[in-house]
Amino acid sequence: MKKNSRRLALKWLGTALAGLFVGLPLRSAAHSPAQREAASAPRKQPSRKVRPAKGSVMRHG
Amino acid sequence: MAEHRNAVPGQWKSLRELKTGKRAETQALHGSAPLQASDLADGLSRRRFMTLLGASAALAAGGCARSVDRGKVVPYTNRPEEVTPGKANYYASAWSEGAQVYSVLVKTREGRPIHLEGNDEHPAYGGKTSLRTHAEILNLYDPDRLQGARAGERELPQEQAVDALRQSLNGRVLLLTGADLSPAREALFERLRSQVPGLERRQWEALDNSSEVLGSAELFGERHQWRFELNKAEVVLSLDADFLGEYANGTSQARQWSKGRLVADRKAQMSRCYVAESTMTVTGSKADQRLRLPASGQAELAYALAAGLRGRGVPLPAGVDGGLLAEFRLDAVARKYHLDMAVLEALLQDLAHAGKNAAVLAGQQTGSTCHAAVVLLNTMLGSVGHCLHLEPVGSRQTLDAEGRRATIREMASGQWDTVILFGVNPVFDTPAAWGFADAFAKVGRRVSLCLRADESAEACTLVIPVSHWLEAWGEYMTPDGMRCLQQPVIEALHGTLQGEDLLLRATGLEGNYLDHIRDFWANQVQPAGSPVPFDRFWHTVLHDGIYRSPALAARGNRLNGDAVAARMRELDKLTDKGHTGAEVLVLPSPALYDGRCANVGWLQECPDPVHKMTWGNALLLSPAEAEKLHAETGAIVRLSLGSKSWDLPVLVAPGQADHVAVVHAGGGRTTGSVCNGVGFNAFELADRPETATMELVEKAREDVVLQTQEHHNLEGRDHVRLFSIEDYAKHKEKHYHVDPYLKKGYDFYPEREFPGNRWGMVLDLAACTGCTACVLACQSENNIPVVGPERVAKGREMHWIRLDRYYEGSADEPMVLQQPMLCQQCDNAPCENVCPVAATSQSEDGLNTMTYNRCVGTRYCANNCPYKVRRFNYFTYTDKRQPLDLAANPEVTIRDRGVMEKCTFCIQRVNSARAQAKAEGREIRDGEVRTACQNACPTDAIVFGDRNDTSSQVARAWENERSYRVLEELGAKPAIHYLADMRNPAVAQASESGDHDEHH
Repeated sequence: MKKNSRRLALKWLGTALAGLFVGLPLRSAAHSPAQREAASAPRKQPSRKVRPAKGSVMRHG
Repeated sequence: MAEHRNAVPGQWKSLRELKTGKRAETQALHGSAPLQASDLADGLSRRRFMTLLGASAALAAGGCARSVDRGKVVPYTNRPEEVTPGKANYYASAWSEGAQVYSVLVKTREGRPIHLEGNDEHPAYGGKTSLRTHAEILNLYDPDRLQGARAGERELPQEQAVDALRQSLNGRVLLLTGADLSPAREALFERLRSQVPGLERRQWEALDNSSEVLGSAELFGERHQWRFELNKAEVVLSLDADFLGEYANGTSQARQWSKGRLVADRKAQMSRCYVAESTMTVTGSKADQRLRLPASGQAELAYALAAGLRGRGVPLPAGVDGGLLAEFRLDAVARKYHLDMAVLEALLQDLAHAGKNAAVLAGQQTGSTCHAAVVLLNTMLGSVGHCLHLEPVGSRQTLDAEGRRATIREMASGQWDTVILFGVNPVFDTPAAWGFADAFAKVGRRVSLCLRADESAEACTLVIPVSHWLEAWGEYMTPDGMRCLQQPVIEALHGTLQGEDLLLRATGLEGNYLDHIRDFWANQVQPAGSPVPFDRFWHTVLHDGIYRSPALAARGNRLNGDAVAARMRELDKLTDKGHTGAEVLVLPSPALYDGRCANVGWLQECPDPVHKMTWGNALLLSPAEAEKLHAETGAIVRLSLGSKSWDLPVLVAPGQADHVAVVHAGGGRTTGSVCNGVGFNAFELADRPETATMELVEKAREDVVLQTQEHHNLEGRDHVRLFSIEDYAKHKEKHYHVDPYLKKGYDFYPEREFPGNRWGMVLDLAACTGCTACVLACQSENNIPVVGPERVAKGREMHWIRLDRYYEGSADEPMVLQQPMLCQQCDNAPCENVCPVAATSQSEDGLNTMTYNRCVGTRYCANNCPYKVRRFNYFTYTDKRQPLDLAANPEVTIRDRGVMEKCTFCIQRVNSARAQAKAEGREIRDGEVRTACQNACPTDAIVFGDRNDTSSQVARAWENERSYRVLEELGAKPAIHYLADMRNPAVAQASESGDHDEHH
């Protein structure tokens, strides 16, 4: 009984680890640079505040 | 074959290395390097192993279960006309820090400023700017900025705050502002006086970073300052003036100075730089001949040099007493301060020989006596009007120490009904001995117009937030006639008004500050009778950011001989005191200046150019002084000045003069979420008449002074190479070192082909001053996070470019060598071979690229990188507080926890240039891609471009005879070449360093 439960525990642990090894790269692959960029950019339509000030003159765009 | 001085064993990074001969291992053991198997404890039982395995699996599973806020991408339909999503707009603007004005270009994306660069149209900057200018982006988005006004504990809406300000403008009102270089602002205060007759404005600066000649009002009849043209100087003598760093305008002076240091070939001439200074500065680290001399001894040296020049037949200016001067003798100064007489003789000869092509500069800490001597020296040499110009200070009439003390006395005696602090923080930055806080508390109405609730705001009855300069209008004029316009590039983030507008509203005057500036420019600046309509003129200047008007005319700069004689007599009194303790010197911090921008994490974490200290300040002592106290770096020393004493951490500073204790300002702030409690307030020690006595109270600890110099160690291999110009000119064969095995063509890897572009970089060590502007520019461009002091202590700082500083010679009088170290983008990159998931690989154009989403964080690459330039995200370092997210550059991915990162050669800039070239159906032009570090470098030490284009600047620099690759023998084939450092010593180096001359 003792031996079996240890084996079972090991099996579960092995499965969990294997899952992590497979899952983690997939998970991080899901977050592409584009998505991260989107996350870093303003979340919504830039608010009234985040705008060029009135009267300023652009050098070049 | 070659006669360059090799890195090993002559060069050392820290005193520990010098003493033990061993490279630092501390960081390898408990720093960024992973534990080795041998570091694990023995006897790990099966049960213990299972427990650990289970716990780590559970932790990993728990730790990974976080949801990334992916936000929502919304179409940008309601956008301003000039904004194109995904495309940056640039605006010219300007800002001032102390007595310096910086003309800048602001890069904005979707309406938010994300990066600052120097204005390429400005002749003094040519596209370069200072390290603190780069950090202003983070200052704008600082979450600690005040968002609303308050009177005591009560919050006030803006209208009520203006009303409260109106009520304060009654009776005798003192308005304290920083140094002011704006004639329009001066005119504004005149207008305000018409409404508030009791208003007086004074300019309050804690530390003078100007080139003003102290005591010049007595010497010339009005206050004067120096303007430099160091590119014309063949000999530069600096008397405690860190002109490549914090003295006056380090950025433009470094640009000028480096022009005389270009060594294109063996026939090139170099200027010679003599530095006499009390502590090692950026300028001292580039000196050809350096002398250790306390600030109090500089005047004696200057007068002795003047006497020496007179002895060589150089005439004295009319009215100056030659008899008094004859009392100063160079050999006496040499004996008194233990200076090398051979160097002084060579200096005298060089000065006499160079004549008008010599420039002598004196730092602000040397005092008015030394400044008078320097005016005398430059006048004798004939360099005034050639290498340096004497100009009136214009509208910048900052209070001197006596003026500030008088103001405090007036406050204490109740002369002022209201004191308004406009952008100044005197409670923090006034010498504590003067008692500003107590006097200020006696004023009835105390108002602060400020960006953040600083120490002074806490002592005020009314606090009103103002806009950051990137949200505000302004204008500046420097005495040479160059005018800069400051325009807002973003609407005020917190709905604030700029301070000038608050004052205009409170006094009930019509219009806003923009109208005022426009009126001023229409009437005073645009040439009278110009056929150009004002609007067109205004728009052109706003577009360019600069306008040149006639320089301020001096009423006369005839030297008053009696005033010089009086200074010489003063000197006798000064030097008679004798030295019993150490003189305390409070200097501006290379990163934080006087502490006004201390809440910017980038600056706190920016390593000091010489000592590589981050997060805090320390008491700098010379090695001999420290030894007397049995103190090492990290020890605590009790410093006593009169009846007061402080326990301060020590940093042993090689090259510092004895009997001098140096502290950098900027630490010890008590407000601000970033800077609160970091370091100690150096102003508490400032301006006390006594000399200091010191005793050791606590032995050295590792975590007291955070220095990054021993992190990311290259294990004592060959790095920096150095030639004297004489050696360089003499020898015929190529100097750069090629490993004999590589010469024979033995290579494990096949030669790679780069059919299109092949990006490469050349770094000129002779031009690099180690100013660290590149580090900040890279941080701003590439979204590099701040990790905080605890992690810096573990060697986990994230900067993609670091400046390795090596000493050579003895600890007392070392020579300093700087070497920027960044990813070398190797063709045969050792990091690529060891990555198990191929997250790092070679691109077709010769870049070593990172695929962040493939990286699983094994850190094998960092271990295998011989240059130690890879950085690992142990945690999610990016500060998510609003509105900090607006500071991020959207062209660069924000790296998350568990990902390796490193320099990309600004691949986003390469890609954008490529897209532009493709759209226009052409090749990328040379110079079209400029990396952030290259753009920031004031001395143009960094050249970047396409190596396949043989006519490109980088390809030409690649073939320079000083060019070499670091650790070439490893065969990694880096895409970065270094050009060996060059010095132009007048006297052969002491035998200690000369011993290594014949290595190789």
